[in-house]
Amino acid sequence: MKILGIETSCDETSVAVVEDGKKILSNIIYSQVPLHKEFSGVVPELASRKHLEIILPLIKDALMEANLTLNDVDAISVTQEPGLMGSLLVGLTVAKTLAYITKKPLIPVNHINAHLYAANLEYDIPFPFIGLIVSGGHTLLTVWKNWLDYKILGTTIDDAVGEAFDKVAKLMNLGYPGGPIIDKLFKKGDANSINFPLVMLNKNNDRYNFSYSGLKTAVVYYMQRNENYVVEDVAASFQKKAIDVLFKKTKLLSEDLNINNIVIAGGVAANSYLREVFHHSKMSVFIPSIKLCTDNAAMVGGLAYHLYQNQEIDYTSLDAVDKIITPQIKRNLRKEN
Amino acid sequence: MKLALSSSSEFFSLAVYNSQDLMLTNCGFFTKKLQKWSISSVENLLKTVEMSLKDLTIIAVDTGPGKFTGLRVGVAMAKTMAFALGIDMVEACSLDIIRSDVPALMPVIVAMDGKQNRVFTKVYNANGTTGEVLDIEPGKLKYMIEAEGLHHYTMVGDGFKNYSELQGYPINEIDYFFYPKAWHMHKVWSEPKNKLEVDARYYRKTQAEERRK
Repeated sequence: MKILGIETSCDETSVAVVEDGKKILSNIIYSQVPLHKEFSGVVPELASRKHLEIILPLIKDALMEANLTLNDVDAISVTQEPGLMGSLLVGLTVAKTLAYITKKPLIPVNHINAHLYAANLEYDIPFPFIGLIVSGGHTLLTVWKNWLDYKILGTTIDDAVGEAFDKVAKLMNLGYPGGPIIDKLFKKGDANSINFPLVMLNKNNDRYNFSYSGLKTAVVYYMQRNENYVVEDVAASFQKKAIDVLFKKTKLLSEDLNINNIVIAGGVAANSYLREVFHHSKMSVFIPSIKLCTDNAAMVGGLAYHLYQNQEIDYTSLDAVDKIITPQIKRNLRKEN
Repeated sequence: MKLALSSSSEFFSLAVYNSQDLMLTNCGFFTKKLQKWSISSVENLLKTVEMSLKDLTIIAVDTGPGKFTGLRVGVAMAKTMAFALGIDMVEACSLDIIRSDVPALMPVIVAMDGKQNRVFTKVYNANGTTGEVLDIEPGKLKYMIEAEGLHHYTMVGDGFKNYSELQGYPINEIDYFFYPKAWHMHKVWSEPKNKLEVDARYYRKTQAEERRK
């Protein structure tokens, strides 16, 4: 079964064709990073405009690379949630219209779940597993019984980890996106030179939750107190603590649930220290290659294969959903934990 | 057969043409659920005229200026239809569509509510010349009308209804004249174009770009 995947949830426009949830026939990614760089972050309206401008040429290219026509694909899949509303709407409108014209099934996909699925495009992920999603918008600890059955056990109570990288990079005028820049400086600096806090939130109801605002504030205070700070050392010390807490919380959940399989996904999964620290652990860790860590449509088309169960979805009733973790859900999560 | 679509204002409209003859229209006021409505409306419209998608030879779309989200949903839908069906597109400016509603020899000022206390406006003179599309504050448009002595022009578009600065001019009170409508598009649409070349025309930078400026 060949599925056309469309991903426009944030600042990457991507179209892919994936066969039987595994074989990537094409996966074209257009990154808008240069467009947003001068604003030190994603400008939602600019992102939506760019998605509309380039989505059809990308669909054309993805089909051409897969050596297929639109009629050859068996279904259309699209990221429905979560993401920037205007950006999601472009992808969803295009996908719905394609499904309408071609009379093919339309499969809506959750962006976060698709990120975890990216690892399954390269490995055969065993169930159950713990899924750690780390990106500019999310920091989530999840547990999965199969590709349709999962539970969120932890989230950030303030900034997402990728967001913290961007903010710290901005504080030091390093540029955007912050993650890759800080990761480069990490290799040049001394990660043990500054004792930034390791924010574990040890209360029971925050056992699997994260917080990054305290770490970010500690960086601000350090910079204020030390005018001649060494950029490489600040970046390295920050990165170490930001990643260490991800590792410790994941390990804690792994021990609590006695689940040794760990899947890590999202843009921050490209971080070199994160990959090193997890791969050197005793846990069985699956991290997608760098290309599949960023937003891409192959993960959408891949997961869609498992979501599709021969039931036609009424494409006219679909609408974009901008957020999956609302403040209310966050509060409930904290209560439940 | 041609399908025309306009969604640059809060008034969404579709029209089916057989050659240049209007066959059927579908329209309504929509705000948040534009996307849900649009696909099913196309389906219903084609069913009613007993036509199928294969009968479409051209997709016409209102490319703005106007409401950014509505514009994007409409243009995305129209371009994707043309792409999937392998047919050409024609486009029309929303302000030109509104103007085409008024008899040709009358001088007209069109002002569409552009939100953020701005209007998209264009002046159409009786001799057929036109001004540029402007994105300006209602107060500035009023000043322009006063300074250039344009009071006798026919004022159309929801900008004259929604902003107090522009109220008081003799305008037609019927909503019918306030919005671009798909069934007027054939009077002003462009020559056929490749769908990959058609895009929404915003006539306004994003707020982030304006702040930078």
